Formats: sequence, C-alpha cells, structure tokens
Amino acid sequence: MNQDPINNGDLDGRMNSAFGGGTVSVGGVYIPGGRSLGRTAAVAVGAAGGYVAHKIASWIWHSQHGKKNVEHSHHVGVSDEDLKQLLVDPLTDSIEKAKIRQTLKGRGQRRSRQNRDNKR
Amino acid sequence: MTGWHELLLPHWLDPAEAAEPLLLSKLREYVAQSPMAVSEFELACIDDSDPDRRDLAAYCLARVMQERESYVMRPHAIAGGRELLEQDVSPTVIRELVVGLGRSGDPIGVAVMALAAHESPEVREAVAMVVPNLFLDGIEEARSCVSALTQLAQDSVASVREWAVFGLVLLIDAGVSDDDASAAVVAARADPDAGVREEARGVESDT
Repeated sequence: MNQDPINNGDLDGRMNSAFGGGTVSVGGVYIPGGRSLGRTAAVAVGAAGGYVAHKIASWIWHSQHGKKNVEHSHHVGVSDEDLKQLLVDPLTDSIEKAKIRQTLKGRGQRRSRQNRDNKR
Repeated sequence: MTGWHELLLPHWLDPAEAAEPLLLSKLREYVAQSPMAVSEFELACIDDSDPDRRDLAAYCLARVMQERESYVMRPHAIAGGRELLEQDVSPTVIRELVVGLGRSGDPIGVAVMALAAHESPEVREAVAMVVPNLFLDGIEEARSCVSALTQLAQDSVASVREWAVFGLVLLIDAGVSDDDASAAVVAARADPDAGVREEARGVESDT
C-alpha cells in the first residue's frame, strides 16, 4: 500500500511523464550490472527542473515516514519501564546510562512527532 | 530467495513501535544468510529509484554498522557508509549514515563532525544526536564534541538545538568540565522553544 501522496499524485504524474511513463514504478526491476531503470531514466532527465522539484518534495515527504535509527540497537524491543529501571540500577555503567537517555529521548521525540502528524 | 526489500519493507513502513524488533530480527536473519547484503544496501542507497527502498536500505546499513558483535559484515558496512557520505545521496540517507557511523564505535565515525553545517536540518539533527557518542566511545576529544554541539545549539531549527543541548548535558553529566558547554546550556534556558528549555534544565542544579 503506497500512501505517498507525491508518488500517487500530481508530482508522480509529472515525473512519470518526464521519464517516459512508469519508469519510477519499475519496482525492483534491475538491469544486469546493478543499475536500476529508474536511475538510468533519472540521469537522462536530471537536468529537468521538474525532476529536481520532485526529488526535493519526495525527500521532504519521505523524511516523515518509515522507520529511522532513533534507538540504540540493543534497546530495540526493551520497554521504557525496563530502560528506566536500568537507568537507576547502580550496576549499569555510566556510558550505558547515557545511551539509555538517548534512546528514551529519541522515543519521546518520535512519539510526539507521530502525535502531531496524526492530528493533521 | 526473497529480496531484502520484500522481506523488510512491510515492517519498516509499519508505524507501530512493536514492528521495529521484528524488523531488526528479519534484518539480522537476512544479513546472516546473504553475503552480498551490505553491497545490496549500499547500491540501493545510491541507485534505487524507489525512495522507500532507498531509505530502508540506509536504515539497514546503519543498523549493521551498530551491531558490534552480531555481524561479520559490520566493518564493510562502516567503510561503505563512510564512502557513501561522499556520494550524491538524499538527506534521509545521509541522516541514517550519520547515526550509523556516529554510533558504530569506530574511529571512522568522526567523519560525521564535518556535517554539522549540512544544509538539511535532519542531517544536522542526526549529527547533534550522535556527537556525544563519539566522546563516550572514546574516539573524539571532549573539546571537539563540545565545539560541534555549541555550534549546533545555535541552529535555526529547534529540534537541532534540542538534541545539541541534550548532548551537552550528557557530556557534562559524563564528567566533561567545559565553560563553553556550561554557557551554552545556561543560554539555552532562555531559548524560545520549550523543548530546548526543558533539555537545558537537565543540569540546572549543577551550574
């Protein structure tokens, strides 16, 4: 399910048109050697202002969904409560405590951004 | 064999927090079974026309960089991620690479310091997020980290300032004694953004 309003909307239409139609949605079709058809097409029309505009708009949109590296990997799946317990545990070293604080802050920021986006 | 994006993309797009442990589990499985996994992620960061797959690849690469004991591929991911910083890749990809490199514990991670003035706020925010780790992991001196964070604490974007002030407080709490760090935290208590002010209060009783 693609919820991307740009790649489903006007910008996508313009870009597909510029790329000769449908190039962007080739979805995993790679030519031998590892270069994607989308990339080849993008290079071909790279000078076009429309492409640049799409690229920028797409970056903005895609910065708002999908997962980001926020938590330290070894904290993923550990509850806030357990992390807070580790934070006050005298056996937890100071570096790990700093990392826990980073993870908790990252989670808090991610949740507040999700709440903000949900209200829009 | 199922492609990496078919395996991982549904979990990456799932907004639920509970999806991330499953995503990491699937990623670990895939990397363990696929000798070319890191190369696939690197290529997708540069070359994939689908922004979702491209950003997912960056996420995966950054995660591999941080898996200090699980992956034999970690050194390749770190070296590849460092090279990708020199490529024409999107800010979202750079953001992930910054987090991966900065938290990798590898000396190569100091490369992220050069991005403190990057044009994208999400990249600057990531730099502010990981600079303290360079000190905590013993790969950068406190003075350099404080210098970068005090610069970022003046940023025009509130979330960048917030992470920078948070980082300065972490360094101070870790025993760093630096007048510039203390001054930046004190100044941040008058920041127009409530989140920045809240972080600045972290060491209020100590300064």
